[in-house]
Amino acid sequence: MADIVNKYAENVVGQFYVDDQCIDCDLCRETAPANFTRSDDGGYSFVFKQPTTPEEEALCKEALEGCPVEAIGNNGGG
Amino acid sequence: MIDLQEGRARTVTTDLNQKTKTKRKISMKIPTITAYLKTSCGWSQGVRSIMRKYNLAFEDRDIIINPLFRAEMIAKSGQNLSPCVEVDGHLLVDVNGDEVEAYLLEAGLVHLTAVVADAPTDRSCDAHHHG
Repeated sequence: MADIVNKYAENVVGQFYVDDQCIDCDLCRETAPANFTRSDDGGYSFVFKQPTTPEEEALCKEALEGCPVEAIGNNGGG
Repeated sequence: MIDLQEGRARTVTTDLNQKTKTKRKISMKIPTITAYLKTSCGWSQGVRSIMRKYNLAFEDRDIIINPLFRAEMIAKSGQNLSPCVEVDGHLLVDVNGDEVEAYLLEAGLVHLTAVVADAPTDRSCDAHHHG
């Protein structure tokens, strides 16, 4: 399970975030490209925009559930 | 008129040339290659394509499917970006297919070939997002 204490600083404030367990597999970026992007220098994903529509939120949730290492959290508040 | 002796001599020369060629091919060192790659990323596909281009056997260690391979790559390279390719103990870190090819050529492990790689060798991880 993702841990908010270990989330990457690049994540924008809000419900969804990626923590340091991310293995840069591309699944979340494929699933929810409007919200997840890649840190090219760090080699991991982060949330660059929190979902603003129910559709985006559903895709972020799908990414969370599909993440192979459970590096995505949705308890970021905001 | 055909000079039989000369003809024979010619044949021998051709045979020798053939032998030299064959010998050179056999004596070419076959590198031991271990590649730490992702399942579908563009960089990784580029590296696999270079291996196919030169018909090189290599061990494909998929760091997404097997977390142990990822840990091994990080331990060896001191960073978490792939592809990392180990050629006869020499570690190439965070490289694309073109860079692997350049190293193999420079090290004399492969010869220039007219064969064209069957996938882009300099494509990033998520090129479709960046255009």
